[in-house]
Amino acid sequence: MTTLADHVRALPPRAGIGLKPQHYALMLDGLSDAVRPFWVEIHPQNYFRDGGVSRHWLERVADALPVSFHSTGLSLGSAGGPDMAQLDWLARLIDAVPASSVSDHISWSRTAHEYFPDLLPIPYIQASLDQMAASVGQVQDRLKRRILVENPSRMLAYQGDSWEEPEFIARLCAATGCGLLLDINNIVVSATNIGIDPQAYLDAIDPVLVGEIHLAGHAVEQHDVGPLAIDDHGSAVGEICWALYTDYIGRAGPIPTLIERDNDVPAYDVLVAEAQRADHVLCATKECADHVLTATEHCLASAA
Amino acid sequence: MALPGALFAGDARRILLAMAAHANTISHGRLVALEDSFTATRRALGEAAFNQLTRAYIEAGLGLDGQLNDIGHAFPDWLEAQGQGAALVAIARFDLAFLRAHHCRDAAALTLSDLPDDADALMALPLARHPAASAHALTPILLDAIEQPDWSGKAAILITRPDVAVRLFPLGVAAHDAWGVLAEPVTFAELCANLGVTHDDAAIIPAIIELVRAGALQLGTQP
Repeated sequence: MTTLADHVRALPPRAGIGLKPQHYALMLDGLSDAVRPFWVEIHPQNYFRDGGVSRHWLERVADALPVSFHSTGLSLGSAGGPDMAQLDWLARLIDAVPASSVSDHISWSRTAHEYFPDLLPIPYIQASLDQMAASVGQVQDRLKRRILVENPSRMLAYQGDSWEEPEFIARLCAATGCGLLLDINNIVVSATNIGIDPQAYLDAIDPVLVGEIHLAGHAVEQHDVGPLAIDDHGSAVGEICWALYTDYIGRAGPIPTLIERDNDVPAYDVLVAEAQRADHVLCATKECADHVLTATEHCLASAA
Repeated sequence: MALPGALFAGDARRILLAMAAHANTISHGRLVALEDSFTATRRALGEAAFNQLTRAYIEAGLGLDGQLNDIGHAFPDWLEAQGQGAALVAIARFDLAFLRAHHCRDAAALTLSDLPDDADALMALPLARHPAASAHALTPILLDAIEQPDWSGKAAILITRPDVAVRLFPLGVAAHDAWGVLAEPVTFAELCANLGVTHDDAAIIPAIIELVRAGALQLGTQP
Protein backbone atom coordinates (compact mmCIF):
# COMPACT_ATOMS: atom_id res chain seq x y z
CA MET A 1 0.00 0.00 0.00
CA THR A 2 1.38 3.37 -0.95
CA THR A 3 1.28 5.81 1.94
CA LEU A 4 1.90 9.49 2.18
CA ALA A 5 5.30 8.74 3.65
CA ASP A 6 6.30 7.00 0.43
CA HIS A 7 6.27 10.34 -1.36
CA VAL A 8 8.45 12.16 1.16
CA ARG A 9 12.22 12.31 0.87
CA ALA A 10 13.82 9.43 2.78
CA LEU A 11 16.61 10.16 5.22
CA PRO A 12 19.88 9.61 3.38
CA PRO A 13 22.34 7.13 4.95
CA ARG A 14 24.55 10.05 5.98
CA ALA A 15 25.07 12.15 9.09
CA GLY A 16 22.61 14.68 10.42
CA ILE A 17 22.36 17.08 13.35
CA GLY A 18 19.62 18.47 15.53
CA LEU A 19 17.98 21.67 14.31
CA LYS A 20 18.57 24.37 16.96
CA PRO A 21 17.18 27.94 16.88
CA GLN A 22 20.64 29.45 17.24
CA HIS A 23 21.71 27.62 14.06
CA TYR A 24 18.70 28.27 11.81
CA ALA A 25 20.33 30.89 9.59
CA LEU A 26 23.78 29.27 9.61
CA MET A 27 22.32 25.99 8.47
CA LEU A 28 20.48 27.51 5.53
CA ASP A 29 23.44 29.66 4.58
CA GLY A 30 25.80 26.68 4.69
CA LEU A 31 23.95 24.17 2.53
CA SER A 32 26.35 24.57 -0.37
CA ASP A 33 29.38 24.09 1.86
CA ALA A 34 31.53 21.02 1.36
CA VAL A 35 31.00 19.99 4.98
CA ARG A 36 27.38 20.11 6.05
CA PRO A 37 24.65 17.97 7.58
CA PHE A 38 22.65 15.90 5.12
CA TRP A 39 19.48 15.94 7.21
CA VAL A 40 18.20 17.41 10.45
CA GLU A 41 16.21 16.24 13.44
CA ILE A 42 13.61 18.18 15.36
CA HIS A 43 11.70 17.50 18.53
CA PRO A 44 8.25 18.16 17.06
CA GLN A 45 6.91 19.22 20.48
CA ASN A 46 8.92 22.43 20.03
CA TYR A 47 6.84 23.22 16.95
CA PHE A 48 3.36 22.37 18.24
CA ARG A 49 2.01 25.82 17.53
CA ASP A 50 -0.05 27.30 14.77
CA GLY A 51 2.45 29.87 13.62
CA GLY A 52 5.37 32.03 14.64
CA VAL A 53 9.12 32.29 14.21
CA SER A 54 10.04 28.67 14.85
CA ARG A 55 7.45 27.30 12.42
CA HIS A 56 8.65 29.80 9.83
CA TRP A 57 12.24 28.56 10.11
CA LEU A 58 11.22 24.91 10.21
CA GLU A 59 9.30 25.29 6.95
CA ARG A 60 12.31 26.93 5.29
CA VAL A 61 14.68 24.21 6.51
CA ALA A 62 12.26 21.47 5.48
CA ASP A 63 12.25 22.88 1.95
CA ALA A 64 16.02 22.39 1.83
CA LEU A 65 16.75 19.23 3.87
CA PRO A 66 15.06 15.99 4.93
CA VAL A 67 13.71 16.32 8.48
CA SER A 68 13.40 13.56 11.07
CA PHE A 69 10.64 14.13 13.65
CA HIS A 70 11.91 12.72 16.96
CA SER A 71 8.96 12.98 19.33
CA THR A 72 9.36 12.92 23.09
CA GLY A 73 5.76 13.24 24.20
CA LEU A 74 3.65 10.34 22.91
CA SER A 75 4.33 8.26 26.04
CA LEU A 76 3.98 5.01 24.11
CA GLY A 77 4.55 2.94 27.25
CA SER A 78 1.75 4.46 29.31
CA ALA A 79 -0.87 2.00 30.51
CA GLY A 80 -3.59 4.31 29.23
CA GLY A 81 -2.23 4.41 25.69
CA PRO A 82 -0.45 7.20 23.82
CA ASP A 83 -1.06 10.86 24.59
CA MET A 84 -3.82 11.65 22.09
CA ALA A 85 -3.39 15.43 22.31
CA GLN A 86 0.26 15.01 21.41
CA LEU A 87 -0.63 12.59 18.61
CA ASP A 88 -3.12 15.07 17.18
CA TRP A 89 -0.52 17.85 17.21
CA LEU A 90 2.04 15.54 15.61
CA ALA A 91 -0.38 14.60 12.84
CA ARG A 92 -1.15 18.29 12.21
CA LEU A 93 2.54 19.15 12.02
CA ILE A 94 3.26 16.29 9.62
CA ASP A 95 0.40 17.52 7.40
CA ALA A 96 2.12 20.91 7.21
CA VAL A 97 5.81 19.93 7.15
CA PRO A 98 7.06 16.73 5.46
CA ALA A 99 8.68 14.27 7.86
CA SER A 100 11.22 11.85 6.45
CA SER A 101 11.13 9.79 9.64
CA VAL A 102 8.97 9.78 12.77
CA SER A 103 10.05 8.28 16.07
CA ASP A 104 9.39 8.22 19.80
CA HIS A 105 10.60 6.12 22.73
CA ILE A 106 10.22 2.81 24.49
CA SER A 107 9.26 4.56 27.71
CA TRP A 108 6.41 6.31 29.49
CA SER A 109 6.00 9.92 30.57
CA ARG A 110 2.43 10.42 31.68
CA THR A 111 -0.41 9.09 33.75
CA ALA A 112 -4.03 10.16 33.37
CA HIS A 113 -3.42 13.34 35.37
CA GLU A 114 0.27 14.17 35.26
CA TYR A 115 3.02 14.62 32.69
CA PHE A 116 6.60 13.88 33.75
CA PRO A 117 9.32 15.57 31.65
CA ASP A 118 11.45 12.43 31.58
CA LEU A 119 11.52 9.11 29.73
CA LEU A 120 10.70 6.51 32.38
CA PRO A 121 11.44 2.79 31.98
CA ILE A 122 8.92 0.03 31.35
CA PRO A 123 9.27 -3.63 32.36
CA TYR A 124 9.94 -6.10 29.57
CA ILE A 125 7.00 -8.40 30.14
CA GLN A 126 4.06 -9.54 28.03
CA ALA A 127 1.68 -6.90 29.39
CA SER A 128 4.08 -4.10 28.47
CA LEU A 129 4.68 -5.60 25.06
CA ASP A 130 0.94 -5.79 24.41
CA GLN A 131 0.44 -2.20 25.60
CA MET A 132 3.37 -0.82 23.58
CA ALA A 133 2.25 -2.75 20.49
CA ALA A 134 -1.26 -1.35 20.79
CA SER A 135 0.07 2.19 21.21
CA VAL A 136 2.51 1.91 18.32
CA GLY A 137 -0.27 0.49 16.17
CA GLN A 138 -2.55 3.37 17.11
CA VAL A 139 0.14 5.92 16.23
CA GLN A 140 1.03 4.26 12.93
CA ASP A 141 -2.64 4.07 11.95
CA ARG A 142 -3.18 7.74 12.79
CA LEU A 143 -0.05 8.95 11.00
CA LYS A 144 -0.45 6.45 8.13
CA ARG A 145 3.20 5.50 8.30
CA ARG A 146 5.71 3.25 9.98
CA ILE A 147 7.42 4.82 12.98
CA LEU A 148 10.67 4.06 14.76
CA VAL A 149 10.92 3.44 18.50
CA GLU A 150 14.09 4.34 20.35
CA ASN A 151 15.81 2.05 22.84
CA PRO A 152 15.88 3.82 26.21
CA SER A 153 18.75 4.84 28.43
CA ARG A 154 18.06 3.25 31.78
CA MET A 155 19.01 3.93 35.36
CA LEU A 156 16.59 1.29 36.62
CA ALA A 157 15.80 -2.27 35.64
CA TYR A 158 12.72 -4.18 36.73
CA GLN A 159 12.75 -7.49 38.57
CA GLY A 160 11.07 -10.30 36.74
CA ASP A 161 11.61 -9.07 33.17
CA SER A 162 10.68 -11.83 30.74
CA TRP A 163 13.19 -10.70 28.12
CA GLU A 164 16.34 -8.73 27.64
CA GLU A 165 15.78 -5.42 25.93
CA PRO A 166 16.91 -6.48 22.41
CA GLU A 167 14.43 -9.38 22.52
CA PHE A 168 11.63 -7.05 23.63
CA ILE A 169 12.48 -4.70 20.78
CA ALA A 170 12.49 -7.54 18.24
CA ARG A 171 9.09 -8.75 19.46
CA LEU A 172 7.67 -5.21 19.34
CA CYS A 173 8.91 -4.66 15.79
CA ALA A 174 7.55 -8.04 14.69
CA ALA A 175 4.16 -7.32 16.24
CA THR A 176 3.73 -3.84 14.75
CA GLY A 177 6.01 -3.45 11.74
CA CYS A 178 7.71 -0.51 13.43
CA GLY A 179 11.45 -0.02 13.21
CA LEU A 180 14.15 0.82 15.70
CA LEU A 181 15.94 4.09 16.30
CA LEU A 182 19.16 2.64 17.70
CA ASP A 183 20.70 4.97 20.26
CA ILE A 184 24.18 3.66 20.92
CA ASN A 185 24.90 6.19 23.68
CA ASN A 186 21.82 4.90 25.52
CA ILE A 187 23.33 1.41 25.44
CA VAL A 188 26.56 2.75 26.99
CA VAL A 189 24.53 4.62 29.66
CA SER A 190 22.52 1.51 30.48
CA ALA A 191 25.73 -0.53 30.64
CA THR A 192 27.12 1.81 33.31
CA ASN A 193 23.88 1.92 35.30
CA ILE A 194 22.41 -1.58 35.15
CA GLY A 195 25.29 -3.67 33.89
CA ILE A 196 24.18 -4.75 30.42
CA ASP A 197 26.82 -5.88 27.92
CA PRO A 198 26.88 -3.29 25.12
CA GLN A 199 28.55 -5.54 22.56
CA ALA A 200 26.16 -8.41 23.22
CA TYR A 201 23.28 -5.95 22.98
CA LEU A 202 24.39 -4.68 19.57
CA ASP A 203 25.10 -8.18 18.34
CA ALA A 204 21.46 -9.00 19.09
CA ILE A 205 20.05 -6.05 17.09
CA ASP A 206 19.11 -7.05 13.55
CA PRO A 207 20.21 -4.20 11.24
CA VAL A 208 17.10 -4.74 9.13
CA LEU A 209 15.09 -3.18 11.97
CA VAL A 210 17.29 -0.08 12.31
CA GLY A 211 16.01 3.00 10.51
CA GLU A 212 18.17 5.54 12.25
CA ILE A 213 21.07 5.73 14.70
CA HIS A 214 21.70 8.28 17.44
CA LEU A 215 25.13 9.11 18.82
CA ALA A 216 25.50 11.36 21.86
CA GLY A 217 27.52 12.12 24.96
CA HIS A 218 26.51 11.73 28.58
CA ALA A 219 27.59 12.83 32.04
CA VAL A 220 28.88 10.51 34.77
CA GLU A 221 28.41 11.21 38.47
CA GLN A 222 30.60 9.41 40.97
CA HIS A 223 28.81 8.07 44.03
CA ASP A 224 29.69 5.73 46.91
CA VAL A 225 27.65 3.03 45.21
CA GLY A 226 29.45 3.51 41.91
CA PRO A 227 29.11 5.72 38.85
CA LEU A 228 25.74 6.92 37.61
CA ALA A 229 25.53 7.83 33.93
CA ILE A 230 23.11 10.64 33.12
CA ASP A 231 21.84 10.77 29.54
CA ASP A 232 22.02 14.54 29.25
CA HIS A 233 23.10 14.92 25.59
CA GLY A 234 25.34 17.62 26.88
CA SER A 235 28.75 16.68 25.55
CA ALA A 236 30.58 15.29 22.55
CA VAL A 237 30.12 11.64 21.60
CA GLY A 238 32.40 9.45 23.72
CA GLU A 239 35.04 7.18 22.26
CA ILE A 240 33.33 3.98 23.50
CA CYS A 241 30.24 5.07 21.60
CA TRP A 242 32.30 5.78 18.48
CA ALA A 243 33.95 2.35 18.67
CA LEU A 244 30.64 0.51 19.06
CA TYR A 245 29.14 2.57 16.25
CA THR A 246 32.03 1.97 13.86
CA ASP A 247 31.86 -1.77 14.50
CA TYR A 248 28.08 -1.86 14.04
CA ILE A 249 28.15 0.11 10.78
CA GLY A 250 30.91 -2.16 9.53
CA ARG A 251 28.49 -5.08 9.88
CA ALA A 252 25.20 -3.33 9.11
CA GLY A 253 26.14 -0.95 6.33
CA PRO A 254 25.32 2.76 6.23
CA ILE A 255 22.33 3.94 8.29
CA PRO A 256 21.21 7.59 8.76
CA THR A 257 23.09 8.77 11.84
CA LEU A 258 22.36 11.75 14.09
CA ILE A 259 24.80 13.57 16.32
CA GLU A 260 22.44 14.29 19.23
CA ARG A 261 23.16 17.36 21.33
CA ASP A 262 20.43 19.03 23.41
CA ASN A 263 22.35 20.74 26.22
CA ASP A 264 25.42 22.98 26.13
CA VAL A 265 24.91 23.11 22.39
CA PRO A 266 28.23 24.07 20.77
CA ALA A 267 28.84 26.30 17.79
CA TYR A 268 27.39 25.11 14.51
CA ASP A 269 30.75 24.27 12.96
CA VAL A 270 31.63 22.09 15.97
CA LEU A 271 28.45 20.05 15.55
CA VAL A 272 28.97 19.75 11.83
CA ALA A 273 32.55 18.56 12.38
CA GLU A 274 31.30 15.85 14.72
CA ALA A 275 28.73 14.82 12.12
CA GLN A 276 31.51 14.64 9.57
CA ARG A 277 33.24 12.00 11.72
CA ALA A 278 30.11 9.88 11.52
CA ASP A 279 29.94 10.54 7.79
CA HIS A 280 33.47 9.20 7.35
CA VAL A 281 32.44 5.97 9.10
CA LEU A 282 29.37 5.67 6.89
CA CYS A 283 31.32 6.38 3.72
CA ALA A 284 33.95 3.78 4.57
CA THR A 285 31.44 0.97 4.16
CA LYS A 286 31.39 -1.40 1.22
CA GLU A 287 27.82 -0.33 0.41
CA CYS A 288 28.91 3.30 0.15
CA ALA A 289 31.90 2.40 -2.03
CA ASP A 290 29.76 0.22 -4.31
CA HIS A 291 27.06 2.85 -4.73
CA VAL A 292 27.35 4.94 -7.89
CA LEU A 293 27.24 8.47 -6.57
CA THR A 294 26.75 11.71 -8.38
CA ALA A 295 29.41 14.37 -8.03
CA THR A 296 27.40 16.17 -5.36
CA GLU A 297 26.84 13.01 -3.34
CA HIS A 298 30.33 11.53 -3.47
CA CYS A 299 31.80 11.16 -0.01
CA LEU A 300 35.13 12.57 -1.07
CA ALA A 301 33.37 15.67 -2.35
CA SER A 302 32.13 16.31 1.19
CA ALA A 303 35.51 15.93 2.88
CA ALA A 304 37.11 19.11 4.13
CA MET B 1 12.40 5.65 52.63
CA ALA B 2 11.00 2.20 51.79
CA LEU B 3 11.31 0.93 48.24
CA PRO B 4 8.14 -0.35 46.52
CA GLY B 5 8.39 -4.07 47.19
CA ALA B 6 10.35 -6.15 44.71
CA LEU B 7 9.72 -3.85 41.77
CA PHE B 8 13.25 -2.97 40.73
CA ALA B 9 16.31 -5.12 40.32
CA GLY B 10 19.62 -4.46 41.98
CA ASP B 11 21.09 -2.86 45.06
CA ALA B 12 18.63 -0.76 47.07
CA ARG B 13 21.05 2.15 47.33
CA ARG B 14 21.50 2.27 43.54
CA ILE B 15 17.75 2.05 43.06
CA LEU B 16 17.26 5.06 45.34
CA LEU B 17 20.04 6.91 43.55
CA ALA B 18 18.38 6.29 40.18
CA MET B 19 14.95 7.33 41.47
CA ALA B 20 16.46 10.53 42.87
CA ALA B 21 18.08 11.21 39.50
CA HIS B 22 14.74 10.77 37.70
CA ALA B 23 13.02 13.02 40.26
CA ASN B 24 15.71 15.66 39.74
CA THR B 25 15.29 15.51 35.96
CA ILE B 26 11.54 15.97 36.29
CA SER B 27 11.83 18.82 38.79
CA HIS B 28 14.54 20.57 36.81
CA GLY B 29 12.54 20.30 33.59
CA ARG B 30 9.48 21.90 35.21
CA LEU B 31 11.39 24.71 36.91
CA VAL B 32 13.35 25.60 33.77
CA ALA B 33 10.11 25.64 31.75
CA LEU B 34 8.67 28.17 34.21
CA GLU B 35 11.87 30.26 34.09
CA ASP B 36 11.69 30.33 30.30
CA SER B 37 7.97 31.20 30.35
CA PHE B 38 8.10 34.03 32.92
CA THR B 39 11.28 36.01 32.19
CA ALA B 40 9.87 39.46 33.14
CA THR B 41 8.36 38.06 36.35
CA ARG B 42 11.70 36.49 37.27
CA ARG B 43 13.48 39.77 36.60
CA ALA B 44 11.00 41.68 38.77
CA LEU B 45 11.18 39.23 41.68
CA GLY B 46 14.80 38.25 41.57
CA GLU B 47 15.97 34.68 41.14
CA ALA B 48 15.61 33.49 44.75
CA ALA B 49 12.05 34.75 45.25
CA PHE B 50 11.01 33.52 41.80
CA ASN B 51 12.44 30.03 42.48
CA GLN B 52 10.61 29.89 45.82
CA LEU B 53 7.29 30.74 44.18
CA THR B 54 7.70 28.38 41.23
CA ARG B 55 8.61 25.50 43.54
CA ALA B 56 5.50 26.24 45.61
CA TYR B 57 3.38 26.38 42.44
CA ILE B 58 4.65 22.97 41.32
CA GLU B 59 4.22 21.50 44.79
CA ALA B 60 0.64 22.72 44.71
CA GLY B 61 0.21 20.33 41.76
CA LEU B 62 -0.59 23.04 39.22
CA GLY B 63 0.29 22.93 35.53
CA LEU B 64 1.44 19.32 35.78
CA ASP B 65 -1.20 17.74 33.55
CA GLY B 66 -0.09 19.27 30.25
CA GLN B 67 3.17 19.53 28.39
CA LEU B 68 5.99 21.77 29.58
CA ASN B 69 5.20 24.59 27.19
CA ASP B 70 1.88 25.04 28.98
CA ILE B 71 3.05 24.50 32.55
CA GLY B 72 2.56 28.13 33.47
CA HIS B 73 -1.04 28.56 32.31
CA ALA B 74 -2.31 28.80 35.89
CA PHE B 75 0.67 30.68 37.37
CA PRO B 76 -0.74 34.26 37.23
CA ASP B 77 -4.05 33.18 38.78
CA TRP B 78 -2.18 31.23 41.45
CA LEU B 79 0.00 34.28 42.25
CA GLU B 80 -3.18 36.33 42.66
CA ALA B 81 -4.74 33.69 44.92
CA GLN B 82 -1.55 33.71 46.99
CA GLY B 83 -1.93 37.47 47.54
CA GLN B 84 1.25 38.35 45.68
CA GLY B 85 0.01 41.81 44.70
CA ALA B 86 -1.64 43.22 41.62
CA ALA B 87 1.58 44.59 40.11
CA LEU B 88 3.37 41.24 40.13
CA VAL B 89 0.29 39.39 38.90
CA ALA B 90 0.08 41.87 36.00
CA ILE B 91 3.68 41.11 35.03
CA ALA B 92 2.99 37.39 35.10
CA ARG B 93 -0.07 37.92 32.89
CA PHE B 94 2.12 39.95 30.54
CA ASP B 95 4.62 37.07 30.34
CA LEU B 96 1.85 34.57 29.64
CA ALA B 97 0.38 36.81 26.94
CA PHE B 98 3.83 37.13 25.33
CA LEU B 99 4.16 33.34 25.28
CA ARG B 100 0.68 32.92 23.83
CA ALA B 101 1.48 35.48 21.13
CA HIS B 102 4.44 33.26 20.17
CA HIS B 103 2.24 30.19 19.93
CA CYS B 104 -0.74 31.86 18.31
CA ARG B 105 -1.94 30.93 14.85
CA ASP B 106 -0.76 33.07 11.98
CA ALA B 107 -3.33 35.68 10.94
CA ALA B 108 -3.16 38.60 8.52
CA ALA B 109 -2.97 41.91 10.37
CA LEU B 110 -4.78 44.98 9.07
CA THR B 111 -2.33 47.39 7.42
CA LEU B 112 -2.65 51.02 6.42
CA SER B 113 -2.94 49.98 2.79
CA ASP B 114 -6.04 47.94 3.69
CA LEU B 115 -7.92 51.08 4.76
CA PRO B 116 -10.31 52.17 1.97
CA ASP B 117 -9.90 55.59 0.36
CA ASP B 118 -13.67 55.96 0.14
CA ALA B 119 -14.98 57.58 3.33
CA ASP B 120 -18.20 55.54 3.44
CA ALA B 121 -16.30 52.30 2.94
CA LEU B 122 -13.86 53.30 5.66
CA MET B 123 -16.59 54.04 8.17
CA ALA B 124 -18.26 50.69 7.44
CA LEU B 125 -14.99 48.75 7.75
CA PRO B 126 -15.37 46.01 10.40
CA LEU B 127 -12.48 45.87 12.85
CA ALA B 128 -11.40 43.25 15.39
CA ARG B 129 -8.42 42.51 17.58
CA HIS B 130 -5.65 40.42 16.00
CA PRO B 131 -5.63 37.00 17.74
CA ALA B 132 -2.01 37.37 18.92
CA ALA B 133 -2.42 40.90 20.29
CA SER B 134 -2.97 41.98 23.88
CA ALA B 135 -2.52 45.20 25.87
CA HIS B 136 -1.20 45.56 29.41
CA ALA B 137 -1.32 48.61 31.67
CA LEU B 138 2.19 50.04 31.93
CA THR B 139 3.18 50.21 35.60
CA PRO B 140 6.64 51.23 36.85
CA ILE B 141 7.38 47.66 37.93
CA LEU B 142 6.42 46.29 34.49
CA LEU B 143 8.49 48.99 32.83
CA ASP B 144 11.52 47.90 34.88
CA ALA B 145 10.84 44.23 34.23
CA ILE B 146 10.74 44.64 30.44
CA GLU B 147 13.71 47.02 30.52
CA GLN B 148 12.15 49.81 28.43
CA PRO B 149 12.67 52.98 30.54
CA ASP B 150 11.97 55.27 27.54
CA TRP B 151 8.34 54.17 27.61
CA SER B 152 7.47 55.77 30.92
CA GLY B 153 4.54 58.13 30.48
CA LYS B 154 2.75 55.76 28.14
CA ALA B 155 -0.54 54.18 29.16
CA ALA B 156 0.01 50.58 28.15
CA ILE B 157 2.23 48.14 26.36
CA LEU B 158 0.90 46.26 23.36
CA ILE B 159 2.04 42.74 22.42
CA THR B 160 1.49 41.92 18.76
CA ARG B 161 2.58 39.34 16.25
CA PRO B 162 1.48 40.53 12.80
CA ASP B 163 4.08 38.32 11.08
CA VAL B 164 6.63 35.84 12.48
CA ALA B 165 8.13 37.81 15.36
CA VAL B 166 6.47 38.98 18.58
CA ARG B 167 6.72 42.76 19.02
CA LEU B 168 6.16 45.22 21.86
CA PHE B 169 4.77 48.74 21.40
CA PRO B 170 4.03 51.49 23.90
CA LEU B 171 0.49 52.80 23.65
CA GLY B 172 -0.79 56.29 24.31
CA VAL B 173 -3.97 56.87 26.28
CA ALA B 174 -6.27 57.25 23.28
CA ALA B 175 -4.86 54.16 21.54
CA HIS B 176 -5.26 52.20 24.78
CA ASP B 177 -8.86 53.33 25.02
CA ALA B 178 -9.41 52.33 21.38
CA TRP B 179 -8.06 48.89 22.23
CA GLY B 180 -10.60 48.70 25.06
CA VAL B 181 -13.47 49.50 22.69
CA LEU B 182 -12.28 46.67 20.42
CA ALA B 183 -13.00 44.05 23.10
CA GLU B 184 -15.89 43.30 20.76
CA PRO B 185 -15.66 43.74 16.97
CA VAL B 186 -16.92 47.16 15.84
CA THR B 187 -16.93 49.18 12.67
CA PHE B 188 -14.50 52.02 12.10
CA ALA B 189 -17.38 54.46 12.60
CA GLU B 190 -18.43 52.88 15.90
CA LEU B 191 -14.85 53.01 17.14
CA CYS B 192 -14.57 56.69 16.29
CA ALA B 193 -17.89 57.43 17.98
CA ASN B 194 -16.85 55.64 21.16
CA LEU B 195 -13.49 57.39 21.32
CA GLY B 196 -15.16 60.73 20.64
CA VAL B 197 -16.92 60.54 24.00
CA THR B 198 -13.65 60.98 25.93
CA HIS B 199 -11.14 62.27 23.38
CA ASP B 200 -10.80 65.29 21.09
CA ASP B 201 -11.53 64.65 17.43
CA ALA B 202 -7.86 65.29 16.61
CA ALA B 203 -6.76 62.35 18.74
CA ILE B 204 -9.11 59.71 17.30
CA ILE B 205 -7.61 58.83 13.94
CA PRO B 206 -3.99 58.87 15.22
CA ALA B 207 -5.04 56.48 18.00
CA ILE B 208 -6.50 54.03 15.49
CA ILE B 209 -3.49 54.39 13.20
CA GLU B 210 -1.24 53.61 16.18
CA LEU B 211 -2.98 50.25 16.58
CA VAL B 212 -2.91 49.51 12.86
CA ARG B 213 0.82 50.29 12.59
CA ALA B 214 1.50 47.96 15.54
CA GLY B 215 -0.27 45.07 13.80
CA ALA B 216 -2.87 44.84 16.55
CA LEU B 217 -5.96 44.68 14.36
CA GLN B 218 -7.47 42.45 11.75
CA LEU B 219 -10.40 42.81 9.44
CA GLY B 220 -13.57 41.89 11.31
CA THR B 221 -16.33 39.79 9.82
CA GLN B 222 -18.98 41.61 7.85
CA PRO B 223 -22.33 41.82 9.71
